[in-house]
Amino acid sequence: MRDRPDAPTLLRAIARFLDKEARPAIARDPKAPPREPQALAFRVLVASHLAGLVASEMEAGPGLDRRELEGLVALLPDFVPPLADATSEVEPRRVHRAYAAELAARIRAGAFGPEALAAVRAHVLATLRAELAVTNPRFDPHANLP
Amino acid sequence: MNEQADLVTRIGAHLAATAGGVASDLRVVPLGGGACQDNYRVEGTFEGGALAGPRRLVLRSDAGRSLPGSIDRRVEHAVVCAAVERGVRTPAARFFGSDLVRAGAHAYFLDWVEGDAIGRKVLRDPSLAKARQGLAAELGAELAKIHRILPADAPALAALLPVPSEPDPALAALAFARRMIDALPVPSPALELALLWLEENRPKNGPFVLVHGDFRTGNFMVTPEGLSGILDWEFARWGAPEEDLAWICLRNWRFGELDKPVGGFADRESLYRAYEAEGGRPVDPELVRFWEVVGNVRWAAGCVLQGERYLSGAEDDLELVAIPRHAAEMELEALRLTETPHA
Repeated sequence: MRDRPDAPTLLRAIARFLDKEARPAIARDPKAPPREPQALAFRVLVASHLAGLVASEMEAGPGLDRRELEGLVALLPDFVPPLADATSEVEPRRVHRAYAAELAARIRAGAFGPEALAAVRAHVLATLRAELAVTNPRFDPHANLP
Repeated sequence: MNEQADLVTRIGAHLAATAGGVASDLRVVPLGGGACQDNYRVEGTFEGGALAGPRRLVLRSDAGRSLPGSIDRRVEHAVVCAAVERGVRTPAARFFGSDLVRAGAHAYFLDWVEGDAIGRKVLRDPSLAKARQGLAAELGAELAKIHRILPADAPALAALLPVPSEPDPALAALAFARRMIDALPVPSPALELALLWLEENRPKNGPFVLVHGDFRTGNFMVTPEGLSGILDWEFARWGAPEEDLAWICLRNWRFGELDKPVGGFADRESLYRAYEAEGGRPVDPELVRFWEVVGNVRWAAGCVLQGERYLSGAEDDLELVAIPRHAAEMELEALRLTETPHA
């Protein structure tokens, strides 16, 4: 699933907000950024959602990534991803991104016929639905809207 | 707080020079929520000049940041003036100036408008229940007035805000979407699929009209009496009339009230009929759908690019870092709209 900004970046942003904005505001520090209480409350809500999101992604992310990669490999059987490098921790992400980039490039180039395009579409929709179940469980991906 | 005191001094001097009055009790409070501009509430009791008496204004200044497709305060000021001239319900823009908040930043003042813009309140506050019933009709009528502004009739505006070089609004929008997607740090198969559909289904030869560009719940003010003012013209551009009609219907701007397509508070018919009654061109729902797909593509890419502003180190705003994860919602919605059988 998408990881930009990644989990450490999100956690640092929350930490920074708590230290530089929320704490001074609660302590009525005159150096606190000037903000209306409602605006600050909204930012607390954003921070709280983000922290929950990071936790959910840590739990569900690896399984989602594996299923997405399986789907990508099935759609691009002839694609050779960049060579694996066992010394790099970020390697699985790099392979993953290379496949997604290749899929995007082939869609753009018109490389898929109608049947293959339907399979691509099904893969993309399934990936998005699985991702949203983690990042925004209140989002109903099957809602039929007027 | 010297910085704040300096700001108050500069604003006081600017208003004295442009409005001809001084307020000894001038107060300046930052307002939240602008992605491309810094907003302040400015209030005081002015002695003499155009502002004589107790006054409350909004100061809008360029921020040290902007979004793809957004205009600066100089162009925005011209857009708002054109809209006010045509009778659009939007607060008058006055006392334009530069270097007021920051060096190099353009700024101007808006008359204060009473009401609420926050989605949750506009959709659910009991005191606005009666206003909600007529809101879509009011908005439809205002949109028709905005869309009557054509490049040929507003040459001064068109000089500041160029008409796109593409032959029609759909091609201009697709070229813009393509540029946004090419700027993404990670390619998006979902957006490529949506763009493929857009290219195959694009309308041809539509006219360019002035569009608000961010016409949605959150960007207009509502009081118990109804619509009190349209705000936030930073994405104004020459485009297709259906762009604005579609944007307010995006799932993201329904704030959870999914069965009420217009901004989460009304059905489409109320908006469309009022738009046509005020002289807007007859609404073709299929065209609106095309522009809803465009809107979702733009906003999906926009979400990602907001996060890039944080990752680039240019800004450390918590809200920016939270936005990219929402891109999947717009990607899914764009794909849903491209597969629904034609009604």
